[in-house]
Formats: sequence, structure tokens, C-alpha cells
Amino acid sequence: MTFTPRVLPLVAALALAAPACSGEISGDFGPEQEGEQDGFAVPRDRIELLPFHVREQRVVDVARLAAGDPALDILRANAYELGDHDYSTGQRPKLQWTASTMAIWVKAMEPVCASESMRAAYPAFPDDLGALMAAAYGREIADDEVAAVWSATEGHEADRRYQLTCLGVLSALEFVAR
Amino acid sequence: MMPRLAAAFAALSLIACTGSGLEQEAPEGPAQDAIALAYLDRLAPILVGRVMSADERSWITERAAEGMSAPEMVRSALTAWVDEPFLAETARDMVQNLLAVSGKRDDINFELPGNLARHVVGQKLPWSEILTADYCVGDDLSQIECDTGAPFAAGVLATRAYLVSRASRFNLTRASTMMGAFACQHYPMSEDLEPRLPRERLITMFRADTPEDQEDPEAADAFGNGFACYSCHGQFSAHAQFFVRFDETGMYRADATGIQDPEGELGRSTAGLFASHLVDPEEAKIGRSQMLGQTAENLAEGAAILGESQAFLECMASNVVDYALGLDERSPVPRPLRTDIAGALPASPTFQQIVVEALSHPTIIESATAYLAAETDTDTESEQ
Repeated sequence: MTFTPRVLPLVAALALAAPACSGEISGDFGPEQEGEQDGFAVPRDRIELLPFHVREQRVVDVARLAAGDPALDILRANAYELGDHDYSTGQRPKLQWTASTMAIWVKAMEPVCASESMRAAYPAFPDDLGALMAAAYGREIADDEVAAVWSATEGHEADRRYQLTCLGVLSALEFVAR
Repeated sequence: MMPRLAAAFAALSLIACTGSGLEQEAPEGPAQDAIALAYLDRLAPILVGRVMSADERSWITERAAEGMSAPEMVRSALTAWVDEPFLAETARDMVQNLLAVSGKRDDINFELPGNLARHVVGQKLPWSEILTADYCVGDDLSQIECDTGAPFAAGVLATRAYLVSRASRFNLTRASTMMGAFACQHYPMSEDLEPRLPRERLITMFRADTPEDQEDPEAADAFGNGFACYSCHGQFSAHAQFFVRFDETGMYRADATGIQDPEGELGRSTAGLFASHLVDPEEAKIGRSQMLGQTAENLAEGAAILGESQAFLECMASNVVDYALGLDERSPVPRPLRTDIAGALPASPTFQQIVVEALSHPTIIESATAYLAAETDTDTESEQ
């Protein structure tokens, strides 16, 4: 499947709207602790992407890809745009989930979602969608969550719907951020 | 679940079931399994590169039902997780970001510090070896000679990657990064930790405490850094001296003088070297100095003193918590908490031991999951 700008809004909406996303933006630091020995406040007012190598590992695991699988080529070719670092050339880790980052990430996930190993691991949606979400998010997935994610791609033909749903799951904040 | 992990969890289940003292009365507030799951969900990708397995989640739910506390469940999970190979990648990335070194440029391998971190964790060596290793580690993880040409090695500090990326006048950045990254100390630091070198051993400009004291016209405007030069440079001088024989390309130069280049920029010596703080030419040209109040013959000895210090342990605990939880300067781990964690560590701990001790500390868990308590309070109020 070729990535087109027209696809992005749908995938972005799916990624952000998916019930699986639990990375809320609360705008505060949590309750103040009394006395400095009592603890500290963990900021919860920003979304930060997981380190690139962690996200890459999660993709490999969920899609059950071999280390050198060409399905990862776009991901690796865009590593620095997606938050990897090479300090020797001034590439610092950019861990903000911007529209640009999201677009590149979705493009990088297209061959992953189209890969043979992904299709072998999760042959058909919605039957195997719960298994994909569970593998991606590491928790039990309720039936209504599966239904909500599946319904977001309603109206597309089967292959395209599989692809878009897969892209949504692998682009959700719960998968890429903390 | 990996067999080793499954075995670890099974063993821990057995301990819990046979009454080992791990069971505690569940405190009020969010359920203990909810705390443990939320906390471990956050840590798992960073520490082990994966999400929690269904077996692990079930294990926590079952132990909570038996009365185990969240910190005990977290400790059990972390004890199993630190045996997973991904942790070495975690250490590598943490060190690379801590020192801002990675990649390759020209003929310098900026991966050497990260490679060493990965090796030290993979081999379960004392974590202080990142400062004391007398070897470097290549990209294939084999031990190699370090690349500075020095007659000694000092873990990540005696690599061209570190030395080039932190090259600056008077070696100030090399010194401040070393103390910032590995002791979490910034200048001026407590004199109890690092006694200042005697004022008379420093060059004139660094002896001043006030504008009136300043006798060097070149420092009359204080460079915009204030006039209490001696306050910081009395300590900078000691740490910067360890680097006086490393030039701006990171190479060791036995012919260094440490003397200011009369034609050059302030803080620069000749031939790409940097000037010493010390006024005695015989002292200025060698790397003998002081680390945490102790005399060290060179950077290797200084790094060894640092690596065995309480300050190092506290700082590494803080670094681990910062990295694992994604903290920044807005949310520092309080010093008493760092001290408490360091106090629970064995002598010369491994990275694995630091991870378990730091991240299973009840206050760390409580702080990281405080939002759950807030949500519980909100839910209770709604019900009422």
C-alpha cells in the first residue's frame, strides 16, 4: 500500500481516538508531596515518545519480524526523524509526537502492516484484532475496544481496512509513547 | 513468558504462598495490584523492551489477592527482569544520552562509551566499571585498547568520544560533565565533598572572591560569571587537572605543559591543549590531582575514587530513576531519597542491583503512581 496524505487524517484520528490510548494529558504534576524526603512529582502534562530503540523492538516483537526484515527498512531509514540519536552529527533524540513525526511513523509502519509475518500472526480482522492489540499494549483488551477500533475503518475494502486498522494500532500513543 | 522468567515468577509465587514475611496488610488507597501494574506497565518497555506478559499480569493480581504489597511485587518483577538481555541496551542508551555521545565522525567512534555500558551490564560487572575499566569495548563487543593513546584507561572518561565532545578552555566542560553525570554535583559543591585546592596553588585570576580581590586585568569583568572565582574554580581546578594532557582531539600528549598560550585564547595552552588552573609549571603539566579530597596520580585513579564514592551511588540511583521514568529537571529525585536508595545497595553494585533497589523503593513507586491515588479520591468523592 502506498502512503498518501489522504490516509493520514484517518489513521491519526484512529490512533488518537482509539480507546487503547491511555496517555492522558492532565496538565498537572500530580499531588504535591509534603517535605522533600517524601517523594517527587512525575510530570504528566506532556507526551513523550519511547526511545527509538524501544519502539523498534516493540514493532519487531508485535509483528514477529526477523531482525533484518526489509519491512523495517523505512523505519530505519527515518530513524533520526523518528527520535533516534547520533550525537556525533548533532542528531539529538526528538521525542515529541508531532504531526510530522506521526506521518513518518505511519509511513514506516506500512510495510510492517503489509508484511507476511504480520499477516501470518494476525490473519484476519476483527477476529485477530484483539490479539494484535493485546500484543501491542500488553493488557487485556475488552470486546468493545476491539469493536471501536474496527468500526473506525468501516467502509474500506478488506485489505485496505486491515492495513488501516493495523496502522492505527501501531500508531496509538499507548504503543509509541509513555 | 521466557522459561527463566517463568521460573523466577514461579519461585517468587512459592515464597509468597509459604509465608516468607512478604505479605503485608494492604494499605488504604488504590489497590496494590493496580499500583504495581500501572508502575510496571510504564517501566517494562524501557527496561525489557516489551510489554508485560499475561502471565506476569496474572501473577501480580494473584499476589495482591494474597496480600503482597505493591513494592514487594515490583521488586519481584524487577528481580526477574534485570536478567533479560534488553537491560544492556537500556544502560547503553542511558549512558549515551547522559553524556550526549553516540555515532561516528571522522576517525572517532562515539559509540565506545555506550558499548562499554552494554558490556558492563551484559557481563554483570560492578557498574563503577564504566569509570574504571582499563579497556574499551568495540562495536562487536570485544575488548579493545582505548583510542586516546594514554598509558592508562578510565572507562568512558578516557575515550576520544568523551574528550572531544567535552573539549573546552581550562578543561572546564570535561570536569563539569564528569562530576555532573557521575556524582550529580555542580560547582560550587560542598567543601565536605571536595575541599578546594589552596588558593595560592591557582593562577591569579581564579584566586579572587570579590572584585576587589581580582588582580588579573584579564578577569576584571569576571566573564559575566560573577566575581567569586575561587568558590567554583577552587574545585574545578582539581577535576580539570586530570584532563590537562588530553588535547582537543582527545589524544594523550605527554609533552603537555598546562601553560597558557601567550598568543592564544584564554584557557588554551599550545598545540591544541588546554591550560591548567595551577600556577606551578611542574604541577600544571601533569595529571596528578585530587578527587573527593583524595590524591590521585592521574584520571584513572581519580575515576576509581569517584566510582567507589557514595556520591556515585546516589547519582547512579538518580540517573536510573530519571531515565526509567522519563523525569527531567522539573522533577528531581530528592537527595534524601537518593541517599536512602544508595544506603541499601551492596558494595560495588551492578547496574542490575541499582535498578532493582532504586525502582522498587516505595517512595519512588508512590511518586510515580500518585495520580492513581488522586483518581481514587475523585472516584470516592463522586460516589458520595
